[in-house]
Amino acid sequence: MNLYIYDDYLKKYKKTLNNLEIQLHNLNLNGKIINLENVKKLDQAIKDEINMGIKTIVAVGNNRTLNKVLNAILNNNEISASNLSLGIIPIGGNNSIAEALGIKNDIAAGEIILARRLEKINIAKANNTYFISEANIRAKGTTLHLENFTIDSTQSGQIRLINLLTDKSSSQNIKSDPQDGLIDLYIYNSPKKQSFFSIKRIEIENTTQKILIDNSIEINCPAKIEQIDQKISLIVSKSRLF
Amino acid sequence: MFKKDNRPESFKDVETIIGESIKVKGNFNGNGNIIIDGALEGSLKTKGNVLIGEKAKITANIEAKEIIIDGEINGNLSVKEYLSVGATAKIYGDIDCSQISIERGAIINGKCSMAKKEANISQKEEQAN
Repeated sequence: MNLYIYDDYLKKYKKTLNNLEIQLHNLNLNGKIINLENVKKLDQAIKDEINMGIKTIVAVGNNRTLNKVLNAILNNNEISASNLSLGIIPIGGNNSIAEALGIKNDIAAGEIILARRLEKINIAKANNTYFISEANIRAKGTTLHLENFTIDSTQSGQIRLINLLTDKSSSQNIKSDPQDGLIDLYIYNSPKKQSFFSIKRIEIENTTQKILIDNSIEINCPAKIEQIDQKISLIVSKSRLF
Repeated sequence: MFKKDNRPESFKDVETIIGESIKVKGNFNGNGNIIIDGALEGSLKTKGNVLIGEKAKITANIEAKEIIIDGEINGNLSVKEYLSVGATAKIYGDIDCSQISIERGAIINGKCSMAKKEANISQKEEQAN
């Protein structure tokens, strides 16, 4: 059985949710629904459902929803993420992770969950917050500390620490593999001024800027960003970007 | 990693790019090919090749399999195989390599030793005799 976790912003998508539930029922993908607005401790709620036999958790919402579910799973030591599969049904905007997994919309998501194609991908961590796709910060004023050296950006631009690349068609011309155990550090100042490093961990300093992870959550600097040893099984489609 | 473009054949697969707008300080160790267009201070060691662009400013000792240099370096170069010095290159430091090519216009201030190459030739001559 599946566990569906609805984000609280979905109240305004009643019709979409009704259609989704009919579709999931028709595909015989029924499951327990948890609404984030009714839950105080998501990790405990997930743990209880796992104890009842749940093995697939589906975040219904956007990047932020998936990030909340991921953190609830990984922050509870009593939950074994290696036995779980995580899916997403994208509804509304800010769904770049779903797109990278090849899930274009909520209608396509049902069939993809039914097909249950799984890919294990790396997980990254910024201070105490886990993330799937990437961490972003403005380049100017940012100092990056790596194992034996530091990097200073002398010009404005963008620093990206990519685990799962969500914009493959980007003009920034990047390749990144979410299964290689490395974070791709990419510094973009202009089309002719780009830098690239493959790293395991990094510390970021900036006195004025915050780091945005999964295009949803802000993290204060200084921040330690690293790839953790654990992977997570994500439900993907054939048209995924990796 | 960046997608392939018009770089030399030995730099199609690049592990690290130090771009024009960044400054790297410290001891950088790599395994693959590295392109430097920005500033580097400290040291750099890699099992792969290093391409130093025209605008690069380097104050560091570099160890690599092959180096192509078109920029400026204050430091020693230890090259396992081949060093290519371009017309715009400025090298202020000692060179240790097996093979070298130097374009007209390049500036080199330092000792150049090719002991490994000599040793290889001597070995081949001994084997031939």
